[in-house]
Amino acid sequence: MENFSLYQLLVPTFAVLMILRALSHTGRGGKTTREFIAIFAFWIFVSLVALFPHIFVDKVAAFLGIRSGINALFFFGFVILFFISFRLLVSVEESEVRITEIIRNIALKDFDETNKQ
Amino acid sequence: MHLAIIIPVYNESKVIKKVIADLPGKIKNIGKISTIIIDDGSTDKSGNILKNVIRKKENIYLLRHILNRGQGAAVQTGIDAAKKLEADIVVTFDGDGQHHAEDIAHLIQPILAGEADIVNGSRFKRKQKIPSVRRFYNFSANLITWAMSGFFLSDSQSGMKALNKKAIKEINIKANGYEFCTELIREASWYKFRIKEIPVHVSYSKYTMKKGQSFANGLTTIFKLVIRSLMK
Repeated sequence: MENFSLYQLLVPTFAVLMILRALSHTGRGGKTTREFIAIFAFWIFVSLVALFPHIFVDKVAAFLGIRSGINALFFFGFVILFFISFRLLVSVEESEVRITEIIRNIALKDFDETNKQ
Repeated sequence: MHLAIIIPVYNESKVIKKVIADLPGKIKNIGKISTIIIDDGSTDKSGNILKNVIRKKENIYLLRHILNRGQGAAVQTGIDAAKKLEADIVVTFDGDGQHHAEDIAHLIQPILAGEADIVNGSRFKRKQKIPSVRRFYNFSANLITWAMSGFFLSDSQSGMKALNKKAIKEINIKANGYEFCTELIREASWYKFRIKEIPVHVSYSKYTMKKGQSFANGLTTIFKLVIRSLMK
């Protein structure tokens, strides 16, 4: 426990949220039981990797011969990918706002015309 | 005083007729009551039912979103229509039948008394059966709303709210979905509006549970709130 890191708490918590989210979708017919089982297995695996990195990651890293330099590269890669994803999310959200404005303006224009008659 | 009741509707053909029929015809100190219904791109028979209903009733207005844009967008369209009708007070009321029409008169009292600019109808201020998943989601959303606005409300995600003329004029919701509730409270904080909470009844049925917020929706809502606050 002395080497316990914050990500070992955050990753399983996030995994539980994702499993509950999938369960909620499954309950409402949005996902099949098979899809739910696959999602459940994936997040359980991710949680186990986070909780016991020496069993999974370290063995794979040792097998591939990854050392700390490459870790830094991966880290920066993730940061860049995160930034790109965030920018995409923001532009999608901005487009959504513009579409809504158009739809709302059409509704209000029709309302004005109906009230004039 | 002119009161406008805003009802966003999305695929509510099973209940919408009763929801409208139950609305109060008269309220003390209110001279005129208008009903503004926003059909948010319904794909069931709601559109036809609403057209028939407005033909038979007075002071009832129907607006239609040609595409479904979510409850927040529908409420803002309703507020804009209320401005055009020169309403003094606006009450937002869910179209799925979970709210009780008799609560409208209580909800507007703090506004009539000049004690509040916005009144939030709280489902948690009275003892009633509320599913625990809703309680959990609401509490999480209350914390986020508090972090974003500084207001800790017992039911930040309530669909039943009343706004006075000042709030009607200033509030401009950009959020499409359920996250509009938090955005509205954040705007209220920005304009230093006075907010009061009033207990309201709520009836949960299989139908309303299926229609309303789920845990999955809740997570999406929270995620969108975070993104929106980062965009600001």
